Amino acid sequence: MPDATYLDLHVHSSDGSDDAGGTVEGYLKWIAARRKLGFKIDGFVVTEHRRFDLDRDYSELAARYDAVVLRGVEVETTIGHVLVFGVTPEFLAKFDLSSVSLPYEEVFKAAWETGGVAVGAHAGRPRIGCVEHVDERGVTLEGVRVIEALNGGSNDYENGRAFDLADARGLRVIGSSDSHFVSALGRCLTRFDRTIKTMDDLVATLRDPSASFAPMYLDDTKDGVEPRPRPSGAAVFLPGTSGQGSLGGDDLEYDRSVVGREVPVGKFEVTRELIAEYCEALDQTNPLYTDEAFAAAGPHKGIIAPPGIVQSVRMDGPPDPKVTFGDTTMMAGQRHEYYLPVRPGDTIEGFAQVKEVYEKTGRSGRMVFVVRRTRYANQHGEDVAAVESTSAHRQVKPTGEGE
Amino acid sequence: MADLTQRYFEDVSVGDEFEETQQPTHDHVVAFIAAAGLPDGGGRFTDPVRAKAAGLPAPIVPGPMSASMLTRLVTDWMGPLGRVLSLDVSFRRPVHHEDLLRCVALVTDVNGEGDFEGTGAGAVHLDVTLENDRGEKPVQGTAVVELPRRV
Repeated sequence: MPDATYLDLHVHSSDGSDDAGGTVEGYLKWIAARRKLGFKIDGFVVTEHRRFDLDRDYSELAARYDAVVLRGVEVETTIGHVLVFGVTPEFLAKFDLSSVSLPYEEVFKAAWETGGVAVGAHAGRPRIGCVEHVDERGVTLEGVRVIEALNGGSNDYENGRAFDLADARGLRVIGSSDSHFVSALGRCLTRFDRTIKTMDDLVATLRDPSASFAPMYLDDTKDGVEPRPRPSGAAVFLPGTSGQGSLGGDDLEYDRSVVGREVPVGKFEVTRELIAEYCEALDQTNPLYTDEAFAAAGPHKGIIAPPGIVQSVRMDGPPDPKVTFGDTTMMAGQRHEYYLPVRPGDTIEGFAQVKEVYEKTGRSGRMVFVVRRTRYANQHGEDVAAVESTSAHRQVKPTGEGE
Repeated sequence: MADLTQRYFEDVSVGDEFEETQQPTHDHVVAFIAAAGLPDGGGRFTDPVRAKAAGLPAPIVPGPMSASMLTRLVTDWMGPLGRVLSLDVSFRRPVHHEDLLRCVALVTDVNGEGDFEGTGAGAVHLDVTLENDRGEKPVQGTAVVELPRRV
């Protein structure tokens, strides 16, 4: 009986994915905690979005936790997102990984010819999985041998229709969590009926038509657990997608000169009255903000302001990057960092910049992201807080002819 | 009302989970926008017609309000002397008015790297998630908080 290996083949980390909060070490600590509860998980593959750093290596860190951490990449193609395992300099030389519409046939072909293997990611997901491209555009899936049918970020309907496609086309299937956060690691994974320690082992197994591997849920890796049946593609539950939006391909147009240029955007004085009003409006009852006696005996030796107060005073924005794509914008994310307490009598000044502009594709099609960062400093020149907001530009109305 | 019970670093372990339920209504959204001084997002948070024009089936809950629900979950749990060092969330799908939401936090790491006002308290890392009753997780993120030690 050969040794089985349980690997999560699709994981994002904050080292390389803009939308991930999990660190590689955080994932490893989580694996240790899961193992104590009887779950089986041997390791994972870090597949960041649209980038692959040849010099990065997690093997030493992984060894400390008795786990395997390998690296691949998740790229974006004309049939949706694609995982590539066994990435070589030769493969990287052929593509601009930051593109959101790489030609899928060439990606699968190049991966195979350079000794690796490409896998259709979250195949059942609207727009960014291959199922819809087969159903709606008759894509032939040239060179596609393996798809990710069980994806931890997809719902049962999406996963079910991915299994259906695999059955119909004779494709091999894998499972993975698509984790962006530590606690999602391994939620879905792949069981291999052999020992896998290296990327070479993994690639050889995925390329071998006689190798035995299957997707599964983490819950089912415990001894004595009856495996859950695979999800059904019957449309009992239709996900709420707009069905609009293009997968793009045009060059991203914006004013690059504003990126990284920090400008002062406003100033205000923190008073006891302002703190009291803010606490009243937002039902903040922590006595550190409201009770002089309690606060005086506490760690700050006096009343402080709730950290969110820096955002409650309207300030200007940073210079406009003039993104031309899309007809609507949505808030896609927010990051708050709090460094020092804000006290009555402080003068807080905001400094804002456009930190980054980039594009990617999601369930709703192409999106252009603008990351704006405002840092707040007090009258001593110390940073007290920073807030980053990410907005997504999208095209929701059909554009032009021939769509 | 905030709970005045203090939580201490020593009492927290990896895998600990806590949650609250929220069901934001139209009135809650209107009140939040006013209190937080938010721009009205072209009406997409309150007006069905303008929400449709922005490609949404119905008005949505503003991102900062979802972030606040998660902040509140964490601040209620940690007690008055806890401190939020960071909160980082991404808004992955719309949150609709009247959605029944589980606000869930899960401890993913505890370490002594924090420095609670020089008292050597520890940092606690959390995954924070809003889950709706359709099995979706429209808002996901992380928080790092500092808790005092029991002396």
